[in-house]
Amino acid sequence: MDILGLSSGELGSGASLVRDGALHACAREERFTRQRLDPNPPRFAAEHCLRQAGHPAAGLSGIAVAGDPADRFTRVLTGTLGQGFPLMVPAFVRSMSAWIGHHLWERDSLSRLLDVDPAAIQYRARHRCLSAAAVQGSGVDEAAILVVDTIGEWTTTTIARWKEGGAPEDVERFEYPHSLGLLSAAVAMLLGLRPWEGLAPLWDLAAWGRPTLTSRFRRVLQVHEDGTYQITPGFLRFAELFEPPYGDPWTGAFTDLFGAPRDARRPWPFRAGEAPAVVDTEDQRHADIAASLQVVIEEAMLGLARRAKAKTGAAHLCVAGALAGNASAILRLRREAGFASVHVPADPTGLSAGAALLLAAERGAPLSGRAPQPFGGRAWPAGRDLAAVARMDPMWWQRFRRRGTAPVRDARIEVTPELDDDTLLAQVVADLAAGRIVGWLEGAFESGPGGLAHRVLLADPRDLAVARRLTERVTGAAAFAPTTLLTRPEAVAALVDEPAPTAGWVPLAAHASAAARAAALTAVHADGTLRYLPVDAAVAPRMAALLDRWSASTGAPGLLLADLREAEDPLAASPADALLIFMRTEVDTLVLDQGLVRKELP
Amino acid sequence: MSDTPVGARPRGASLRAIFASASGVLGALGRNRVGWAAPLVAVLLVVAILVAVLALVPAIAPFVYPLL
Repeated sequence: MDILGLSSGELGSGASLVRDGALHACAREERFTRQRLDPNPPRFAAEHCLRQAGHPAAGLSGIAVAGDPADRFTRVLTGTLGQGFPLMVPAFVRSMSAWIGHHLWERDSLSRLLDVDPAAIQYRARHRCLSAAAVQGSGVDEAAILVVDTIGEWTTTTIARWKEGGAPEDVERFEYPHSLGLLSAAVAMLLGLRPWEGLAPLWDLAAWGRPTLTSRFRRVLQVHEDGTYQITPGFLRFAELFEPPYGDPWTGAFTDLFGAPRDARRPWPFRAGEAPAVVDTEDQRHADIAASLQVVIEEAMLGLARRAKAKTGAAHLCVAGALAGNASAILRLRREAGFASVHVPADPTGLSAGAALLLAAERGAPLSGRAPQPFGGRAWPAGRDLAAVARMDPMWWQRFRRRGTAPVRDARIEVTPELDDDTLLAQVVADLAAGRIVGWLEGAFESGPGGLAHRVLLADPRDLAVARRLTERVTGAAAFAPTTLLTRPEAVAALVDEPAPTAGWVPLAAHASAAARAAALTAVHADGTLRYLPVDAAVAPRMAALLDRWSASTGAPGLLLADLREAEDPLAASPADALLIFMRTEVDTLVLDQGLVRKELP
Repeated sequence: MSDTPVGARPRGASLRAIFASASGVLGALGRNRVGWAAPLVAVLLVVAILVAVLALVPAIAPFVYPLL
């Protein structure tokens, strides 16, 4: 039984194929179109899934789409009108133009795209999809589920229960406008960040501030003793966040509490891995806002998790939604919520996978917490691209070079199309030890938002200069954001105080041990936590072999991990994407399956 | 466990899909206790159809596109 799951919208569109209840293929549209968070119907991602299925869409057993457009429309309509005239006019015109223009007719456009009967397309509530996605990879057979998100149709937070073999059952729902995710998005906008690309920078920034404004946030977000919460009316205008381009989602009362919005172009003075320099009071105040929000969000999530425990009696907790990426909050849930384990799936906002899994479960295919396939994307052979690079004059690449990076016109490019693993890994370890940045592309790309082990950039975690070069000259990531340490599960016990009991291919956080602070300088965040990702040798054997060889050779506990991409682009998908990053930026060595490309600058 | 194929797109599917979407909206308005908004949605739909038709007229289209 093959079920196709689809999702589209502001978080980016995607498609997944579930075969007999297990995830078989999963990809985001942005990987194919190269448009970050591409919101259009997932034409190429669906094509990839159908290629994996081996038959056209008409042969599928079902098609599930995450998010009911009719219910979303009612929320958008009443939400924008609820702002009152004349404030609602810009958001109303913007929203209605998009909804009447195309969102409402999504069933027809998807039917045309897949050439299937429109009656066969079934919509499932967004939070029910996220609940189904939450249990993937948990390794347990019964759990409470907590979905803490920006907004679905009307639901913003869900508590559910799940038992192996069945679909998740909702226990309690919190509805718009009481949304922890929308509050976080509004604060991120106030601080000049881009919440529509994810809330991670907001949580990363929190570590640099002091929670001096928590009492002000408690006026906006009331967390009750029984674990429920409420957004106080009068501070926020969430309807401004319904459709891009987004307006200011706050009122004068909110800016009276937290000050004027920050200029998005103003650089932050904080640098990961370095002691804070002299910090301007304005910058510090903005970091304090993030730190204060972090405290109240942690309190709210902890209250919800305890409520989930009381309502379901489950021993394990699975968390999904936009706020599942808040590593510090998850760390706190793990310590204080009273569950034996707290699991976050590899893709906590994996709507298309959730939709397909949910429909499959409703039709009798058992929904299981067994390990998912984190690499459900497409694989391309690299041979032809390597041959093209070998013939190309570096002078040709100079026109693509990113501003601020060393010129490549006189570089010597060495291309080795085929190497055995032993030689390849030895060369990569030698390059990393010499302070070179290594790009690594292998097999199929990751289903989730970031690189895990198949589309990654690697560097020596002990070398601050390399870490800075990686951020400034390759990824363009925020300088205050911590990097992640890619390591082996056996090494984790020595690196952190309380290792997480499960590892579901999502970066984890824990307080760094003294040994970690000495050995993985650049991966330890300002708040003393270490972000790490343990590599499972059964799923990514080559990366595990590289880490083993690296540790044996240098004594370092792991490698610095970053996504194989430039700041504004999606994660690299094909070898051509990786080669473009290699030539545009200061990546020094690139592994393409068994091939190796090295750049020697004069 | 149902394993019936979903089938190919039949003729006239667009019209049926559009009606299905429209009735879904009406149902959602009722379900969410905002049935009072139904006339407003009807007006918005008429305006949208008018704008779409005007956008097809070459002489008027340049003035209509900025509204979209």
